[in-house]
Amino acid sequence: MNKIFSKCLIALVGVTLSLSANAMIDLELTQGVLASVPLAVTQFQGGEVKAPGNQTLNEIVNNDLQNSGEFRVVNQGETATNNDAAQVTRLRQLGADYVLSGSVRGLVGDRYQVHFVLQSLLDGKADPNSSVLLDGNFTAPTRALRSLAHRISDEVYQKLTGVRGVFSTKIAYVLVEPLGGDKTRYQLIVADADGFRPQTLLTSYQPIMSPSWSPDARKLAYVSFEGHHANVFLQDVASGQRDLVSHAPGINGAPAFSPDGTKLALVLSVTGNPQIYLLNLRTHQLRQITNDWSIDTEPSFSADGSSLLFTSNRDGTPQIYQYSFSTGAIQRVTFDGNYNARASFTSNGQTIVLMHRGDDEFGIARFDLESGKMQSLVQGGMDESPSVSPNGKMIIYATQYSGRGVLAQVSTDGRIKLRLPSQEGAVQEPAWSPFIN
Amino acid sequence: MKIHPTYRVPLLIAVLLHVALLVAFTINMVHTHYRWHDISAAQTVVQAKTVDQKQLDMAIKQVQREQTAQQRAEQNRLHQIKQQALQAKQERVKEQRRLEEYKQHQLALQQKQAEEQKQAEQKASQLKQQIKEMRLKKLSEQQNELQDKLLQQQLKSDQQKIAQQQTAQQQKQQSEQHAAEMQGVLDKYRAQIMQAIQSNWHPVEQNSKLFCQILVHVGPGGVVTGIELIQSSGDAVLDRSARVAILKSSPLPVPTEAALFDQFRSLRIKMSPQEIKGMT
Repeated sequence: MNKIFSKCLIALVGVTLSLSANAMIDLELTQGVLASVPLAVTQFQGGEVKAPGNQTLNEIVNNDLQNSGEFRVVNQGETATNNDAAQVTRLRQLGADYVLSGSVRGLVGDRYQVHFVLQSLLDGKADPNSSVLLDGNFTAPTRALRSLAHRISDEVYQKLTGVRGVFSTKIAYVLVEPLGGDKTRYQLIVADADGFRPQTLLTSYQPIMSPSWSPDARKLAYVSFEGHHANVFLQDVASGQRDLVSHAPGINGAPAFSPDGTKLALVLSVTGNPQIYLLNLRTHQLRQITNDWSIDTEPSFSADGSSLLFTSNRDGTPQIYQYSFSTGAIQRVTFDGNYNARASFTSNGQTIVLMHRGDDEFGIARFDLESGKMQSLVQGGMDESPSVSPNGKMIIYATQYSGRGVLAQVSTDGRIKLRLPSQEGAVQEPAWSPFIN
Repeated sequence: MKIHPTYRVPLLIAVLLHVALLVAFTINMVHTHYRWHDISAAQTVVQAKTVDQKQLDMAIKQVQREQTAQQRAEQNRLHQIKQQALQAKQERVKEQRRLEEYKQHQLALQQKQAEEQKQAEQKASQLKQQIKEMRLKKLSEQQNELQDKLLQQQLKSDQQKIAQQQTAQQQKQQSEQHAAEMQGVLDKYRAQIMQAIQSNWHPVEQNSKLFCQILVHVGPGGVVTGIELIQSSGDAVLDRSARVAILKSSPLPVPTEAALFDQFRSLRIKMSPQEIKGMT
C-alpha cells in the first residue's frame, strides 16, 4: 500500500516537476524578415496649408517616409478623427503598426504652429501612455514648412529605426541642358534630399563636375571648366561666395574634403599623369600622395581621415586602392570585376560603395571590406557617380531613364530603388550632403 | 503473652470461675475447719486445769489422737483440697481442653473458612481463568478472523497491486507515449509560435551579437496580455521590433485545449537578429 502510495507520489511529483519545468516555454528566434514598417499617416488637422514645393505637410512626410524604404505608409490621405478605438482598429486592419497624426494651426503673421504625435497602435490597449512615442510642437513661417516636414520625418525615422534620418539633408548635382547648336548650359544645383527646392549655385556654359560637400555642409568644392580649363572652386552654399582653390596646369579634378574639413584631396596632372594630392586649405600647401605612372583619381576619405580610397589602373583595369596616411602604404581593395571606380566609405567604415562592372553591365555595388564580398545593388548599365547618404542607408546615383540622365536612389541593402523627380535636361554627378545641424 | 480477642472473654470467665470455685471451696473448708478447730481448742483450755499424768497421758493420748485425727482430717482436707485442686485442675484441663477444642474448632472453622475462601478464590480464579481463556479464545478467534481478513486483503491488494502495476506499466507506456505525443504537440505549437513571430519580426539591422529577452503573457485563445522586457539588447529599436513582432502575432497559435494551453501561458522569448530574410 505504502509502496504504491509512494510510487504514486513520486509519479505525481515527477509530473508536477515536468509541468513546472514546462510552465515556462523558452523560444529563441534568430531570424527576422526584412520588411518596411507599416505606418499610417493621418491627415493633419488644418494641414491644407501648402509648404514650398506646393505640397502639404502630409504629402512631404508621406513621401519622405515612403521613399526611405524603411516605411510603408498604409493610408495616405486618411482623415484624422480623434484617435479613438474605432480608428485604431481600422488602422490596425490596414496593417499599420504606428500612426502619425498632427495638426497645423495658423498664428498671427505668416506663422504656423505644427503639432505632431507618433503613436504605437499595438501598445495602446495595455497602456495608452506607453503608446505615445513622439509628441512635438514647432512654430515656423510658411517658407520653413517644408524643412519642418522633413524634420518631422527625421524624428519619426530615428524613433522607429534607431538611425538618424536624412530627410533634412541636401543633394548637389549638375543639371545639363542642351540649348541647341553647340550650346549647353550647366548648372550646379543644391536641392532637398527629396529633390525639391532646387537652388542654382552656379550656371556655366562649360562643364561643371564632381561637386563635393564640406563636412559642415556649408561649402561645395567642384570642378568647373570655365575658361576652358578644369579648375577646382570652393563655394559657400548660403552666400554663393566662391574661391578658386586649385588651378594647376593640366587636370585639376575630383576634390574631396577631409573629415575635419581642413584639407582637400584632389587630382592633379602636373607630373604628366593624374595623381592624388592633398591640399591644405589653410596653408595652401600641397602634398603629393601617389606617385606612379598610372592614372590615380577619385580620392575619398575614410570617416576617421586615416586613409584614402582612390581609383587606379595601375594593375591594368580600374580598381580601388587604399592609401594609409600613417604608413604611406597603398593596398589594392577590389579584385572582383574588371571595372571598379568612384568608391566611397559608408558611415560604418566597413562597407564601400562603388561603381562596378562585373561580367556585363555597369552598376552600383556594395563591397564589404571584412568579408571581401561584392554585392551588386543596381545594374542598369548606365549607373554612375554613387554618393552615400550620411546615415549610410541610401545611395544616390546618376542613371539614364528614357534617354535622359536622371537621379535615382538605392538603399545600401539593395532593397529600395527609386527615381527622383526629373527636371528638364540631364542630371549628373549627384553628391549627398553631410548632416546639416 | 498475647491473647486472641476472641478468647479474652471466655478466658476471663474461666479465670473468674476458677477463682470463684476456689474461693467457694476454700470458704467451705475453712468453715468446717474453724468450727471443728474451735471446739478442740476450747477442750484443750478446760483440760489444762485438771491435769494428771494419767489424765495427762490420756489427755496426751487424747491429744495425740486428736492430733492424729486432726492430722488425718488435715490429711483428708489436704487430700480433699488436693482432690478439689485436682478436680479443679481437671476442670481446668477440661476447660482448657474445651478451649483447646474450641480453639481447634475455631481453627478448623478458620481453616474451613480459609479453605472455603481458598476454594472460592480458586473457583474465582478458575472462573477468571475460564473467562480469560474464553477471552483469549475469543481474541484469538478475532485475531484469526482479522488475520484471515488481512490475508484476504493482502491477497486482494496483491492482486490489485499486480493489476495496478500492470495498469501502471500500461499507464507508464501510455504516458510515455503520451509524453512523446505531448512533446510532439508542444513542439508543433512552439514551431507555429516561432513562425508567427518570425514572420512579423522586422529587425532593422542584422547583428548576431545583439539579443533581447521578452516575457510574454498569453491569455486563452493566444491573446498577448502582457509583454515584459526581461533583458534589453541595449538597442531600443531592436527591443521594440521584438515587442512589435510579438504584439502583431497576437493571437498566438496556442493550443485550445485547456491543459495544453496552460503550458503556453508564459513564453520566454530570446530574439537575436542573426539573420534577416530578404537582406542581400
